[in-house]
Amino acid sequence: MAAKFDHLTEVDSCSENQKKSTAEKAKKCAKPTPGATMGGCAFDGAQIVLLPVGDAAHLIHGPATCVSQNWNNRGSRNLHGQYYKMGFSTDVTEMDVVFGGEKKITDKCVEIADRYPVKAIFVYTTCVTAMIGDDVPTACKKASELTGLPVIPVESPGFIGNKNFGNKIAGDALLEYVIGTREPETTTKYDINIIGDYNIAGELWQMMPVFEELGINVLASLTGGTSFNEIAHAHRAKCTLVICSKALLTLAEGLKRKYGIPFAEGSFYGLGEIEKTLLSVADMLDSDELRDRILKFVERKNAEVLAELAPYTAQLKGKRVFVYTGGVKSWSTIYQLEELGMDVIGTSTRKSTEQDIERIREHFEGTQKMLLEKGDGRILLNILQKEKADLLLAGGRNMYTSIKGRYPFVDVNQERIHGYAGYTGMVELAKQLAYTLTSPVWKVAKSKAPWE
Amino acid sequence: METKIKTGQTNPLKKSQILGGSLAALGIKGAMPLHHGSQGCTAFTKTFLTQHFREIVPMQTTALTDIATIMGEDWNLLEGMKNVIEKHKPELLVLLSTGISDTRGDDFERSIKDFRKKYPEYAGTKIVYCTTPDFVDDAHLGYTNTLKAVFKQLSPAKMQTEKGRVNVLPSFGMTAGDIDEIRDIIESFGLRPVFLPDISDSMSGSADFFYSTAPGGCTVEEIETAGAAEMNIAAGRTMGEIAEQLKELNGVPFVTFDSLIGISETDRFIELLMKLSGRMDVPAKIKKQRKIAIDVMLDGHFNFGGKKCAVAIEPDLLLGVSKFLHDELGITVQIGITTFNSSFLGEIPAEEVIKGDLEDVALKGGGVSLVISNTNAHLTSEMIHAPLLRMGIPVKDRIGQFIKVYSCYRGAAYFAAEIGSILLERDEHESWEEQTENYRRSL
Ligand code: SF4
Repeated sequence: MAAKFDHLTEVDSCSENQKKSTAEKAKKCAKPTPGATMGGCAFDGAQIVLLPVGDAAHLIHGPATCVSQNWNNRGSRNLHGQYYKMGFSTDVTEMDVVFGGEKKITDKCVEIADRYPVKAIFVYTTCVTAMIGDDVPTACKKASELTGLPVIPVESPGFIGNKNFGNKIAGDALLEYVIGTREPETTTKYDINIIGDYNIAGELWQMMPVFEELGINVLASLTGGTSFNEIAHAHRAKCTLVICSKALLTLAEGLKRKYGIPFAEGSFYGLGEIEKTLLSVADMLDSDELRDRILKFVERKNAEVLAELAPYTAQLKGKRVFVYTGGVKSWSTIYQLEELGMDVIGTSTRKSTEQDIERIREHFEGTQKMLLEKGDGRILLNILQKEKADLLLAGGRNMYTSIKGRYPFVDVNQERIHGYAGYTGMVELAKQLAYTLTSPVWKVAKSKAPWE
Repeated sequence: METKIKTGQTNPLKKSQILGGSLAALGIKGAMPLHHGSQGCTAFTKTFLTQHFREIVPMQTTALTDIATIMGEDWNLLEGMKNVIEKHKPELLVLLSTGISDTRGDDFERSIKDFRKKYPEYAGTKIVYCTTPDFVDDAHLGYTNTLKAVFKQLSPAKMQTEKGRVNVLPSFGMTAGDIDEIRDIIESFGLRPVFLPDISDSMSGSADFFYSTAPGGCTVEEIETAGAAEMNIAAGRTMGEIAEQLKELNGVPFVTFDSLIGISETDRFIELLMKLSGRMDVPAKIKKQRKIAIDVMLDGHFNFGGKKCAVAIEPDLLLGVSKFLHDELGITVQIGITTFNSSFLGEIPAEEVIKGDLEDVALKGGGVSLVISNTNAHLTSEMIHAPLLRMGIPVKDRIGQFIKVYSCYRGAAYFAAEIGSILLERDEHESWEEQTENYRRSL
């Protein structure tokens, strides 16, 4: 049974591309430490990318943990369907472990297609079903024949890697099974793909009016707020924007290799980054006209937003904030916070690539700011205390560490409610930062009880 | 949507065993659950419980990676144990298996022996284990299985009885508020309750400091001296099995309650405490609470009559809630949905009881005025236009869920008030809709 997964284990399972030296790679690809590991599995990563496809069902071929502790827990938003809020599972039991559970895949797909008007079904392999050697691709093919729907195998047993690796697996599945399977009805000369924005808390929606006003047409979003058919059209875009995702660069590279679509990386966080990102689209589309339009638009927008921000930036100015996010966000968020007048005292570089880290280093050059490679709650609290931080910006799981330490906090993880992208997101972030910083609860929380 | 035999699950109600096992561990002071599996299982479970409790939830993983390790030696397990003990110095390490480690067939007992041999310097940390694969059972059974294992491995046989000590075995899904309420009542009879386990001390917000193992709960010593209790109170039907096992182990007699929800179960509970303490003068506060609960139930009964309800929750709670709804409030339980088959499901006063999922709320709950289940039932409740009263795990879209009390007289009052308020609002709304519609038509 081990042989079956050779093709997956042989793949470089770090988020980085090939250019690094072997030593560097070995360091980055180091296996997680038993007893000191946090973070999701490859299956989790695959779902992060694919669940936002709102009109598709997502069938998890696995036992309880993969589904039960996981479903209905993503902040993605979608108007094409909300199947990402449902948990479809083959619910693998002891019997299936002994006899195999492939038949359940086809049966469940038929049942789903019967009950819910979905446009496609993604079927995920998880650890146990990989270990027992279930042939998911064949079962999917059969299910597709029976239902008349595209049924896409996603071979993502959790043990083969971390979330980043799972992102890649999902990207590969889209490239192999979905992209290019349909033709768009109409195209424009400003058609683009967006990769890596999952419309968490409606963040892509915060950017859509911007694109619209500029005459840029988002032909396919991979995968925030998207529909299955929309993804299938991605091969017709004129260029691709990769938003805050190193792991999905492989997908952008695939689109370039297969269909000759150029790509650039960008971010929707912060005025400067938005401008840069928009201009990179104009560059890729090679349109001076668009470039001029963007420059004019940005000038007006920036003035508007700065006026709107004024009451909040007054409260945020000079406040010391530590950023604990990792990945691309570790730098994109810094820029955004600095634009709000805050003093970023340091950032974490977990899950960041060498390029990300290089970028932060350059930005921090000549300062005493810190780069934290690996931390846990205690380390984090120590830093906040030592650096006299006013606030922590991190993922939801650290929220309660922050609260225990009595530090104001803003959540930037995937389950959050507020979107911080684009111009409206910038204002929203400023508001949320100001609200937590000025909440009277902190004072009450720090007050002494009568018996103390 | 038609009802056919279903494959697998859609919108699972059940959670996996490691969740329940971890929950049991989190009620033991200084304990750390260590999952033997890949990192994803732990990440999901940790996030899930963090959202539910809104607290730091300690747990770790042995982080099995790639097929080679998965099929290989138990290096990860020993290394994981070492790292956790070195870094977090837990008083108790609770090893829980996952579907992955059980598919490859790990032997905890042997590994612990190997570990003891290899790392004698960590002899101070107690280690217990439980097999909790996620392809069998559910979180409720993971909780009871783990408790059974903990007692078996930590509690020695007979001990001298400590006068006034009562062990309470709280059921899966009880809130910190429930536990504190029960504690308060037992203490008011001059007895000393020990909750095994006690999440009210660790997952209730009362730990206002950073921690990396369970910050409160019953102590390991309290587990080891379980045999000193005068009586074990099983607060939930399945907890009775554990009490029975304890009796075999240390001879402590026990009384099982289906739950402590509702007046009649609480009456039985108070009777027991009167007998145990020899106090016939029940504290005035408790007498008053009973009167208040009954008054709330009377106030609400105009809205209870003729109503139907769907309840989707783990078996112990399903039994307790259904008995309260049916026997004391007069609400029909149209469908009871739960997570495993058990002989006592037949005693649940519901029109139908199934082992199912939250899709069944929509498939079988048509026409109900109320759904009682966890947060994840919101989607299917909306499909049948029924309000959802959040209970069980997870409740991640409410603030302060852990302070809610469902148990004893006070809990009955709150619970009846909450149900009554929802139904009252609905009644008013429906009556308005119906009348205006009729009136319009008559014009
Ligand atoms: S690690 Fe494996 S078993 Fe655990 S949640 Fe991820 S896919 Fe499922």
